[in-house]
Amino acid sequence: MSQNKSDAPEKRVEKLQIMVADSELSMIDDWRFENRAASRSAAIRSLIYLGLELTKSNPEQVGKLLEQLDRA
Amino acid sequence: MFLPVSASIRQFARAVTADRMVGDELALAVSAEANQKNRNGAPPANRVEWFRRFVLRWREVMAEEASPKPFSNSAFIRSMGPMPSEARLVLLLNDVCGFSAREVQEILEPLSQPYEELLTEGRSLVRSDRGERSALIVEDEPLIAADLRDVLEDMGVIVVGMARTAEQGARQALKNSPDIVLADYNLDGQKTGVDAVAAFHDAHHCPVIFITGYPDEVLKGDEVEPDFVIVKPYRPEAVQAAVAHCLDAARYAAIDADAKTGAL
Repeated sequence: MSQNKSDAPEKRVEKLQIMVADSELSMIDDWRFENRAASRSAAIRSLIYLGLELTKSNPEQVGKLLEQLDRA
Repeated sequence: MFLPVSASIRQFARAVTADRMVGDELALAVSAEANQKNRNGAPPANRVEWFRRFVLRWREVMAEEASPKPFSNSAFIRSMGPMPSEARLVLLLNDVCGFSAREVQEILEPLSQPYEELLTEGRSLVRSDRGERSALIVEDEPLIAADLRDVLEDMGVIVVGMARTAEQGARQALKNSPDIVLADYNLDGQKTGVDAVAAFHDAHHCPVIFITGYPDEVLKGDEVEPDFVIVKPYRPEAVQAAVAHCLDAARYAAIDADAKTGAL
């Protein structure tokens, strides 16, 4: 979510709602425990960070993965 | 009078899921899938074609044999459970979305039974026994409020409150915990039906149906967009079909619980 920082003081936190299937939530929780994330929210933030970093370092692979996801 | 197409499809998906957020996500996921499939073809020429492609793609995703890739649109669509029955789809498209018999047949073809039989079956679902279900009406015009009460009582829903202002509406919702709220968007005075709903929705979450003469003003896709909109002048069967769907559709308890705690 983009915010215009010059208009208003920056909000410190934003609550997001996401919808995932039960099986997907299990995958997130498994990742959380394998990687010792402090909470589900922390695990999801880490996964987002990884996704963003991979997009920067390997855009071709990200493109391929997204294409596979759309075609699934 | 018709809603714009994208709002119309969101409305349809909200009716199917009886949940604004889930319905909108379903509408986006199925639309994305349909666009993906038709990306080299012509865009839909009209409203009927949009709906036809939407329903067709939804059916195809549900019928796929392979397990969908986790976190894909297909996985999300499949996690919603089975599609509503043909009778329910006919009822929704005809009575709530306002399509003609010929248009509904075009959207849903091939139908497994004659159209009239499906519509009769769909309308009988409206009157099926739901036990004691209650409704709150927030409407500032007494004649319309009384008419809505008759429409609800005709289908066996008990009207537990009739509020004339946003403040009264919020108070009565908290006091009576209705299973469903019908609210006029344009209440007399400063506040709208959205204000009434915003005032109680955190404490008492239930489906809300807005009735308005100005759907373009209400369905803007922003944060205060209501769950469900019926365009004035309404037809009694449209109100009954929408109420029946909202009362019947399973609520997504896990999502509601997460929304309350704000936790991911």
